[in-house]
Amino acid sequence: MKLRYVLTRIFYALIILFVVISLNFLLPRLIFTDPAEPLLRGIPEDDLILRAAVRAEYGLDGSLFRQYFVYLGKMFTFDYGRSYVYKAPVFSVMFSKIPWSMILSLSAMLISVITGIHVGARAAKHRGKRPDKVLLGAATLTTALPSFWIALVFMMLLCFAVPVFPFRGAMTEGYSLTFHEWIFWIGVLLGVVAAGVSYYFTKKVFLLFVVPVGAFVLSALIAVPPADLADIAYHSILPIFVLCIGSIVSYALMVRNSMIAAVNEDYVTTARAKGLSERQVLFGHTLRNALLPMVTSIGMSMAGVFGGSVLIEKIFAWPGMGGLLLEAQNVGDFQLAQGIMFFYSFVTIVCNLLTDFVYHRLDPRVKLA
Amino acid sequence: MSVSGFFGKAGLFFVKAARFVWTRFLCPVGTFFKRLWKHRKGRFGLIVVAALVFFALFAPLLTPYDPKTPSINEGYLPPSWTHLLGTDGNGVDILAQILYGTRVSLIIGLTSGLCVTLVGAFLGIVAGYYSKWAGGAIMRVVDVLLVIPTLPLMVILHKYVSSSYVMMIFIFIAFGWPGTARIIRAQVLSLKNGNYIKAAELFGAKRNYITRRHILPAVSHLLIMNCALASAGFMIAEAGLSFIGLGDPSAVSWGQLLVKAEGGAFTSRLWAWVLAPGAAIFFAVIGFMQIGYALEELLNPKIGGTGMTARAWGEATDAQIEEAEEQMREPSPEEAAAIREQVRSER
Amino acid sequence: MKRKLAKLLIIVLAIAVPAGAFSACRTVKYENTLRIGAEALPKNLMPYDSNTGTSTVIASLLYNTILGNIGTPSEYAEQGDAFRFPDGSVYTPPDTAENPFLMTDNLLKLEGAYPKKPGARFGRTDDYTPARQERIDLLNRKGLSPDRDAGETWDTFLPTEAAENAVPSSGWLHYSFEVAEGYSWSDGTPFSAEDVKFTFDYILANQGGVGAVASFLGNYSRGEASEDGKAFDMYLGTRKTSDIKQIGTSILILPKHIWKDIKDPKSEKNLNPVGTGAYKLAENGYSESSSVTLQLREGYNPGGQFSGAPPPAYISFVLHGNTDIMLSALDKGSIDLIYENLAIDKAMQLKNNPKLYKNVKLATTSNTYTTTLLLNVHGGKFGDGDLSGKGKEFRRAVSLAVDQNALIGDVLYGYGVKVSDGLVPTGQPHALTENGAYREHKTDIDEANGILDAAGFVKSGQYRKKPDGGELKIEIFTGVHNERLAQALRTQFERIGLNFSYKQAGTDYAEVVKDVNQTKQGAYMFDAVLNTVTFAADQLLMFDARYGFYETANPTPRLYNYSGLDDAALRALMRSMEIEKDTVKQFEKAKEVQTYLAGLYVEIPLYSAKHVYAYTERNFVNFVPEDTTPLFNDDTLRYITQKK
Repeated sequence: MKLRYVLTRIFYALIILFVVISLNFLLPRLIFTDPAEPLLRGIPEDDLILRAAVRAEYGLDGSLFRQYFVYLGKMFTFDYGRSYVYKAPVFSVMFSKIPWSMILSLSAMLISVITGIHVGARAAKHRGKRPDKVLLGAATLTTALPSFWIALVFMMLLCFAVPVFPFRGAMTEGYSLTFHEWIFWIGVLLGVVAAGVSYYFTKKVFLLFVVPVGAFVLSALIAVPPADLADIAYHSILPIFVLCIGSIVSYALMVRNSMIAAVNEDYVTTARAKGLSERQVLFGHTLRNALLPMVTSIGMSMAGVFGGSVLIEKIFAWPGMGGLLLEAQNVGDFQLAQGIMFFYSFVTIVCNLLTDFVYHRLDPRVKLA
Repeated sequence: MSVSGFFGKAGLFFVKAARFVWTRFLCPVGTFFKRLWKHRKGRFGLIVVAALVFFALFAPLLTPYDPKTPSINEGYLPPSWTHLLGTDGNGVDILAQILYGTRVSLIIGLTSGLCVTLVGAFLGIVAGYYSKWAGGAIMRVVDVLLVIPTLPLMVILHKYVSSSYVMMIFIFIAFGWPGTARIIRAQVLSLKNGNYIKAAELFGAKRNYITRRHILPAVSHLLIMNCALASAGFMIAEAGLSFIGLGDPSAVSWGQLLVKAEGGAFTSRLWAWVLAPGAAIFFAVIGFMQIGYALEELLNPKIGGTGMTARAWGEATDAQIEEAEEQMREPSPEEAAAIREQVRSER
Repeated sequence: MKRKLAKLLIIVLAIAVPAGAFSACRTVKYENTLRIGAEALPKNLMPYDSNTGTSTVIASLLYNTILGNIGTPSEYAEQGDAFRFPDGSVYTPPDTAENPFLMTDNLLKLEGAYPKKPGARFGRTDDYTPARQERIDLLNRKGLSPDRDAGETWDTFLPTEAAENAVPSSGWLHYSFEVAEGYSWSDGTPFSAEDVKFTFDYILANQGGVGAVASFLGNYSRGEASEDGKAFDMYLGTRKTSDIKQIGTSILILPKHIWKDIKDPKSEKNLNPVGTGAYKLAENGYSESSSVTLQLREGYNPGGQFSGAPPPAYISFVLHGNTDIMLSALDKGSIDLIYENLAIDKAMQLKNNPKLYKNVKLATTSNTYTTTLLLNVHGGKFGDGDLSGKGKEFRRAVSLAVDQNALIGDVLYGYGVKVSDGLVPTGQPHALTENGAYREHKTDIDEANGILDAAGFVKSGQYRKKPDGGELKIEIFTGVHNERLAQALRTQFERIGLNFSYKQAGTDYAEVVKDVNQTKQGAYMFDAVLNTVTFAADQLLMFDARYGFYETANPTPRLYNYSGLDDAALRALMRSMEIEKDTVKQFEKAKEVQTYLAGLYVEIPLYSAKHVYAYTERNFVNFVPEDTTPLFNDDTLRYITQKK
């Protein structure tokens, strides 16, 4: 991959980021004539000292340019302001909720990618027959029915009519999560060391990525006591299931369409002529090429992985980023909502960038437009 | 000119105008719908959309209940002969709410879908065919808009600007047009290099003329399909946003039904309350999507359609359509073998 | 494919079954816990953070005030009556002549704050005039005090009896208290008067960070704690007896040894609260966005409030998603009561379907809100100028057209009480007249029609026109939740031929109501608005909230004066009621004020909605609803006991 290409894309992404930050800055100033108004709502009007102090704290004093530069500086030091409801910096509030969203969305993504590929490949192999028809029928259902409605129906079925699963929260009520921090960090450290050592001996690059991530997940699992883990797992089954339904169908459909289109290509005929078995042709050649659009799709949905699905988290009362956004709306915590908006944009930009790189690496035919 | 002469001339003018409208607009539109009707998917879609419009227009005639007056003593009733789908927490008949809710969903979906398609098509064509500079600028704007997350933005705006469906439609259009623009622009770029366009340009045709006569018809199938699918998508989006609480709580819509259902239906085991809005949304979306798919199957040359523009398709006679379909059809194995034989023998 | 499906199934089962097993094995963390379902939990344990309703009750369990309210179900038990609690104990209300505050000792004892000699009465000095009182108030507001060394007094009230009465408080400006025994902080530190002084000074110094209670200390001048910390002296700037009530019962006392190090209360979460209350935070009791659990302090019962059966050892506030889920949990017994009141439609559902939740019981309490229709006499259609001088007749006709019974039936479905024209709900003794009859709101359509006809509001078509012939259309401004009420009112006003429409306001509703409470030059922007009046069940505070005035440093009145009197005269009228110590006499004055203001027909009472609470008696019994309070608070707590 050309260095020039990489740098151009990064530069371009930075420009977009810059524009989004500026929009974020202008937003309250466009909505209100006095952007300090929502922050000053609780303070009596004759308390001028306090009002001036609040203005200074949120950087709303001084000329517009001065405010803008102060704001830019704050963005780069990750100072997104202070949530007045949580009485803590917005950054730390958001970061405490992201792991919860990731539990749901990463698990759902893993399961749906693997299952989706299998289902889609099978449907492509038996095109026109039962598996294909089932997939196409499921596709119509899931695109036409809103995802939150499917969640509601399953909740009614499995939580109330036949009370199998719990219907709220991530843990049984009244219990809080115990997390042994030092075990966690030791595990991560060991993982990084192991990655370096294994790379040194085997010279395989993918180990550098896979081993630390694996160590991260493993130490997280060890640092939480098993009763808590089981509790969280039990509570997450239904939300993950609901999230998977839509994803599986869409990935499967994508794979199926790509494989059907690929089957008509020349290289498939060549492979068959070479004498390869049908299975090898399908999974060795066509699948690899069919995965390309899936890579794009996965990349685009990474922002959702960090941000969580607002609808599902509302229905199941899951304490993730989506729930945080709704809470900010209910309570009127403006700083929090703005911080979340910026975070979503940031993650989207970064994920688009990485997707571009990965896609280009996988398919060099793509033009650099 | 005498009086009779004047009337004669006016009459002639009207006759000419009527004939013009008839042949150029009404006939094609009529045959358009007829052809759609013959297609299986199209028929289904047309029936559903017609039913929706019927419900939206004639809802007061179809149900004696008013969807806005509550009567709490009749709350949480299961389906019965007086209330076909039961009542919700405030005693309002659910069937009435669904029938009246069709209006909101249709209006939001269709308005947003139409406007998004128009704006996206316009900007997409400008970006693809007109000046490169403007095109570049538009695509940058598209990139930025695609990155901004609409949900947090709507949350912020909802709290501090009056919440209403107008705001929702506005946001849908403002953040929906980049998708359409991208598709249209890609198509226009690939068309631009076609020979007939280059020829027309060499002949001195202005860009507007080429757009009108060549490009627009070529992308029209994309536009129609985009409109149908976008409307369906926006209907679902409206339900989702109302569910979160970003809609207008005093309005009657399917999303609002689901909001209240979340609170009341579970423990009361009132299935109709939850299933009915879902079914309504399902049929509405399917209807629009089937129309879109039907049109694509009929018009998109790549998957076996006739390869004609929508206008030509409406204007052509049945025999011409048959011939075009015959040409585009993939040959069966026997025919393929026969053709191969023929080619071999010709060598 | 079948193999793969089987593999997937095995994986899923392998996770779900042990997970379910583990979760089911989870034993109850705390025994003897009163579990309360709440829809919102506070994000911190600051005592003055009133973001959610549960934060107030949690703070009241953790902290104490210097004086306490009398905790009887009826504040107005007649003197001499005895009230028997469910646990068998008996309460005799104190003599109001002895103790005009009707307050009990709490952290501090009231000894020495009021005259010891029974039968003493207070009256005005000879040189009292309202004007003199005004001048003295002005001086007090500016922070000046009389030169007592030179013998100067600004007393306008003096005891009429001989000076043997020990009146340490000269004209009710000085109070001295003794620290009550038995109180200590939950970390073991003994309680002293220093903490009280520190708390008051801290609140005044950190007004933005500790909430709105700073306004209660508006007339607090200074305080002094004795050397040994056992006595506390307090000086106020004015003689409003409601001041000592507010300060005594609304300000929670903070520990000096902890809070003196907290420089920035705005960012303080206070997750290890230390207070003098009967409960403390249980170990790991604060689980953010999940639950807050408090634990009873062992062997700690200084006020003797838990004289009967012991209260719950733990109290747990658990967050739930919505009312339905909470009702389901209530039915199963996993929570014992719901903190927030039920919406009317839910209450009706439960009433109409008793089989739906067999174990859920409902309790009704009245509350301190009266819903009124406020007519804008300052600039809308109701001022005299606009209706050709017939404004008062018009308003009287409007008042006569309001049928409170119909409103309570249609809008509240029976969950409400009627309200007298003085804005006091029936059942409150404020509303009594001399011969014991309620001054009820009168509804008479015929009389209303007659008044309008006589005043020249002629009917043309369906609706009447103004006397000068112009079209008459009134717009009621209402929020989203009041739509049914507005509709019902519209129907009622149509019976006298008036065209009332209503406009639902979204975000500007709060602005309009705020407008009502501030005086601005120029006309207000509404014709009529649906307003909520808070009245206090406490006689001494009862009219402070509405047509009284808050006298802060800013001399302009902060509330909406529609009385027709000028500000000074109305203020004098209110004052004479507020500073009356004799409750019997105060009733008289209150009735005078009520009668005067009711005769203006500007604020027309509609109803006082009742609240319905859901609870279950599977684990705990004796939920005694008090009037004007939520079902659960630190007063009703004392009756709740475990089911045997």
